[in-house]
Amino acid sequence: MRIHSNNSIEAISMETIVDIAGKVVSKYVFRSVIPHREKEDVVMSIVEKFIRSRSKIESSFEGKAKATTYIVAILNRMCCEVIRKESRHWYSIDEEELFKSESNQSTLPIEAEKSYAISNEVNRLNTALLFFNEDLAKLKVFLRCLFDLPYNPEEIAEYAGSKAQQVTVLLDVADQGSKGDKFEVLSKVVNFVEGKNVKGDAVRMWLNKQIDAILNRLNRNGISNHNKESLAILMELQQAKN
Amino acid sequence: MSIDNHLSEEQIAQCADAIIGGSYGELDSQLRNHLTICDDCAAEVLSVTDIAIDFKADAARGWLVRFKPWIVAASGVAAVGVVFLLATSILNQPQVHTEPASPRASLPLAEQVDTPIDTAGQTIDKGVIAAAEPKAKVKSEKSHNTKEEQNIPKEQSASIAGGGAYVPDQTLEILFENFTQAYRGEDVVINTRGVVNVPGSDSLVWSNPSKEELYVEFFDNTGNRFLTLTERSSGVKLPELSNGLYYWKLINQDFDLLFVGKIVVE
Repeated sequence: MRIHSNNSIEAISMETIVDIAGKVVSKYVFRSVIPHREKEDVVMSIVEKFIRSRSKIESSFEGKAKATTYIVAILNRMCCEVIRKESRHWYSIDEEELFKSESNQSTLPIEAEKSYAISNEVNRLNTALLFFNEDLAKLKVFLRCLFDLPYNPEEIAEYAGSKAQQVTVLLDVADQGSKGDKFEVLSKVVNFVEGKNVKGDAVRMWLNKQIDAILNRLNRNGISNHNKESLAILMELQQAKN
Repeated sequence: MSIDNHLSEEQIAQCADAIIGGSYGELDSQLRNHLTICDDCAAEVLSVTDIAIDFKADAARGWLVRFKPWIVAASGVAAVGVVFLLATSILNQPQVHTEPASPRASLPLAEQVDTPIDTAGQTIDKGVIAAAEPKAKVKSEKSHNTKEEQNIPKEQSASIAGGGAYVPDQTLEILFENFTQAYRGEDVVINTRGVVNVPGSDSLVWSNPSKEELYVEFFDNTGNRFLTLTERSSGVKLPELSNGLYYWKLINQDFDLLFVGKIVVE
C-alpha cells in the first residue's frame, strides 16, 4: 500500500489499486447498495475494468489531484456503473437465500456500527455544507437559529464581520419567538448585514431551498433518508463533535 | 461551467483533495460554483471524499504496521554505519577532509528518494555533514523520537546562510504564501505563526493528537535543506541558527506537505 511521493498513476502498485477498489465497494456494501455476497465479484470487475483502461486513465491524468484520490474517483464511477447494470439481478434472487446470506455478514457490534454510521453522516454533512461557498457562514447561523441550537461566535463573525455584536443581540431576540418571528428577525439580520430590504418570507424561502439542497445531496447515496428533523440532529452532533 | 457539464473524475478528485486538506476555499471558483448548483457532482464529491479519507487512514495504519519494524531496524543499521564511517574517517585521515558516506547510501535507491533516514533523531544532509565534520559529535545515544534540542553550530549555519541571509528563496516563498491561508493536514493543526521571529520564539508548535510521524525540514534562504527531524510529538525546539531567513516544512508520513513557515533570526 506504499505510495511513491511523486504524484503519478504509474507509481501506484496493483496492490494499492485493489485496496482502493475494496474500499470503494465496501462503502456501497455498507450502505446495502451492493449485497455482501457480491462484494468480491464487484471488486474484481472494477479492477479488471481499471486494468483494461489503465493507459487511458494514466494519459488523461493531469496531476491536478492526488493520484490516489483520482483513482478513488475513477473506481467510484466504475462501481456506480456496475451497480446501475447489475443491481436488478442482485435483488431478483430468492428472498430467503438473500436473508440467509445477509444475516451472517455483520461482524461489528451494533453499537459500533451505529456510532460509525452517525459519525459518517456528520462528516458528510460537513462536506455538503462546504459546497455553499460564501453562503456557508450565513447558512450555518440561520440553521442554528431555525433549529434552536447554540450559536458559534466564529460563524457569526464570519458572516457579519464588524456587525457581529449587533447580530448576536438580534439572534438572541429571535430565539425567544415563534418560527414566524424567527424569520422576521432573520430578515432584519440580512437587511442589516447585507444592506438588503427583504421580508421574513424571502428568508424562509431561501432557507428552505438550502435545506432541500442539503437533504437532496445527503440522501443521494441511496441509503440515507434525512429530513429536517434528522438534519437538526446532525447539526447538533456536529456542534458537539467540534 | 454549466450544470449540464459535469465534473471530470480528476476535478472530482481535486475537490475531494481540497476538502480533505482543509483548503476548499482556495479551490478554483469554477469548480466551487459548479458544486453549489450541481447536486450530482456534489454527491459524487461527497462519496469520493468519504472513501479517500477512509483509504488514507487505512493506508497510514497499514504502513505503520508493515513498515515500522523494518524502518526501526534499518535506522539502527544506518546509525551504526554512519558512526563507523565518521569515526573511521576522522581517525584515519585527520589532515585530509573527505566527504563522509551519507546515511542514505546504505539503503535502496527508492528509499533514498522517499524516506528521510533517521539516524539519531535527525537527518542532516550530506553537504552539511561534510561542512560540520571536523566538529561533529555523533550522538548515537539519541532515541528515534527524541525531543532533545537539535543544535546546529553557529559557524556552520552561518556558512549555510551566507552573507545575503535575508534574501528570500522564490520557490519557498511561493509555498509559504500558499500556506498562509490554510494548512493541509487532517489531524495536525499548526499553532505556530507563519513567520517565527527569533529572538521571541524558540520552538515550532502544532497539535498532533494521533501521534502521527511527522518530518520537520529546515531550509536556509537559498532553498538548501540542512536539517530534517522526525517527530511524533507536538512540536520541536528550534535549532541554534545564525542571523538570517530560514524556512521550515512539516511533512506527514505519506509525504504530504502540511505546512511551510518562515523563521527570521535577527
